[in-house]
Amino acid sequence: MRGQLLFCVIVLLFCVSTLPVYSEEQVQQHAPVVSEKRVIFTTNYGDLVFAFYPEVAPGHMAQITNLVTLGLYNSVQAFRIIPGFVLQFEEIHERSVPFSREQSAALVPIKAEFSAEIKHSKGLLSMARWENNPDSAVSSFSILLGNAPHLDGQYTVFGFLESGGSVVNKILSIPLRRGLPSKKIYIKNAYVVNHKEEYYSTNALDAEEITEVISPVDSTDTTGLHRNNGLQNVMSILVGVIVVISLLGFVLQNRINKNHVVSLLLVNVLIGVFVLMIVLLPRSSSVPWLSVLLFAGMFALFRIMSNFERKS
Amino acid sequence: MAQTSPNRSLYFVNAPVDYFFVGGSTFLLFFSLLFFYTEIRTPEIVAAGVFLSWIINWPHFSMSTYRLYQSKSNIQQYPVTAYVIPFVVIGGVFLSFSYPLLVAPVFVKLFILWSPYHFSGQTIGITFIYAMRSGIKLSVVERKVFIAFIYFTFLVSTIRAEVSRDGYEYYGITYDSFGVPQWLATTAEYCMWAALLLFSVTVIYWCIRHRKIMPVIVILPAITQYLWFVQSVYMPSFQEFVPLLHSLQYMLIAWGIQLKEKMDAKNIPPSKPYVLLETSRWFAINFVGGAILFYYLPQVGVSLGYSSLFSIGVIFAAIQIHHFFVDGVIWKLKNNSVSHPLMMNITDLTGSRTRKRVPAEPS
Repeated sequence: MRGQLLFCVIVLLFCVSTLPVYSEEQVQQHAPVVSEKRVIFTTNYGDLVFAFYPEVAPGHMAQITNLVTLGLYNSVQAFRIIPGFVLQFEEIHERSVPFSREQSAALVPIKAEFSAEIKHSKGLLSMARWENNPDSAVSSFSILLGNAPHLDGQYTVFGFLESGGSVVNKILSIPLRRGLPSKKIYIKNAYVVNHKEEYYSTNALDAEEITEVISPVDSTDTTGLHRNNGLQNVMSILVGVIVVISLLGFVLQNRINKNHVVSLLLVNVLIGVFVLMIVLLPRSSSVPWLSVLLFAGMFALFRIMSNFERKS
Repeated sequence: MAQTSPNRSLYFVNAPVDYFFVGGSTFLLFFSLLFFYTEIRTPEIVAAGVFLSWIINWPHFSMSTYRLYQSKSNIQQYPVTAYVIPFVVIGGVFLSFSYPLLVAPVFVKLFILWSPYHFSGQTIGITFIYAMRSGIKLSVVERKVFIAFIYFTFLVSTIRAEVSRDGYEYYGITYDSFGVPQWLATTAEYCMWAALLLFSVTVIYWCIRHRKIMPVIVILPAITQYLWFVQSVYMPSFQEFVPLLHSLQYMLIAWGIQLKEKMDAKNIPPSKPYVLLETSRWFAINFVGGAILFYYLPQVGVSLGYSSLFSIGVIFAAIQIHHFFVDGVIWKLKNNSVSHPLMMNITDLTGSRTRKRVPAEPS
């Protein structure tokens, strides 16, 4: 009992220790210089026009325009929608269309260009990167759907959504199914214009305000972890029933011997490790010894599983 | 390392065919892509990979399921695998669909980690099969050296991937990495080189002791795995085909055992028509089985309203986890029912008298 309590306390401590600290500080923003260049993403929901801050994030502007020119954003999907926070496009290397040699060579990480002046606020573009490496941004970025002061000084803001507010709102109206967009949102074509007039001479400016909250589903469900709908309950019960029936059928059909018991115990060990991984895996990358322990545990598990079901 | 005088052929079919299936195809493809085509994943490479999946990779998963469930005696030998595991895996699928951001990533992660380990198991198995066939009895130390080298190739590639502190994606399902420290990858790499050195010394020592070259096919599976997991990791065009090459190895062994077992069980006289007809029947069943598992089964998830990508990701992971379980038990070389048919040669099946034998070692 004491051991179990200690384990729970340790797990709890991990969870608490890795919670982010939010800054409440608000700093006055100054209007930065905006480039004449525009990048247009023609998505299956309409056009998104992006403008850049060449003095704030020249490297990011060069990276995005270069990748667009090489046709690398074509077919990339918007995979992450968190109401009031971000609409994020996936990394280019995750797209289903393969690359040419030239395209592949262009996918290199760039240095961070954090700004003390520009704060993460609605409509701005924020570059994604690996959590523990500021200089690891390659191609994935987000349109901010609300203010996100906790990202200030941590992620590079390099531009803003100039036109396409109604398109974003259309995308936000897509129902989320367990935290994921239920319909595919992808870039049909991405291109660069050197002067904004080249685009606006034939297209109207769409300056519609991005809505704060999406309505079709529970807006608090941003992770899918807290949903508790009827289907989920039915499925969970079904899983339990199936396992019980299968075990009963097994017991009735076979005389259980020692090898069977060992195998069944191993199945339980596997399920136990599976549950443990659900709890610990998201935390492991920030705790080196835990990551090594988990990895070694998995390898040991596979070794043990190789003794599964000796000939009866 | 001792050598007995085997009274059997070294090969399942013959040298060209066995070498091709066990590792020759890997080397041919690797060097062809490297010198004559490209290292990157072009649309043609992807198309070729998909096409070959239909006829090699997907049927190979069906083959293990078919082998387990094709006879009552097989099911009775492995009742937990036959009766319980499918429901455990189906449980994982249900939970993944119910909790796509909580359970599905870990379900996929389990498959991603288990897969190269499973490859290693097969490599070790094939190494020992050919050692048995060539009459080589490996000592405990020699076995451990072989196994260590094979496992370290798996560990190096897996740990390298797990150093990243961010996740990866499998058919739209993003899963976490362990984020292990870099020193672990470096250590694993040094250990692998040390194991390779020991492996080489062991082989060379055997050759000196027996005054002849060890049959290359005995060491070919280990070298092939090294190419899959270590040498070609930065060659996406080749990586596209690694699961296919693993499946190709599997098909040769599964084919041999299937035909031999059936012939023995039903007292079928050896003949060429038997080989042709049974091969065709067996392949056709598994081709359909593979298509059902990998093409039609994901449609069930789609019909329930999940995205096709997510559904494919979960179902593919489930089929492969089930395959790892089944394969882990049905190929135990310690079982006579497994090891005996594994000594077959095509001449046993066709009845041909021109059987080649490995010459006995002079005493």
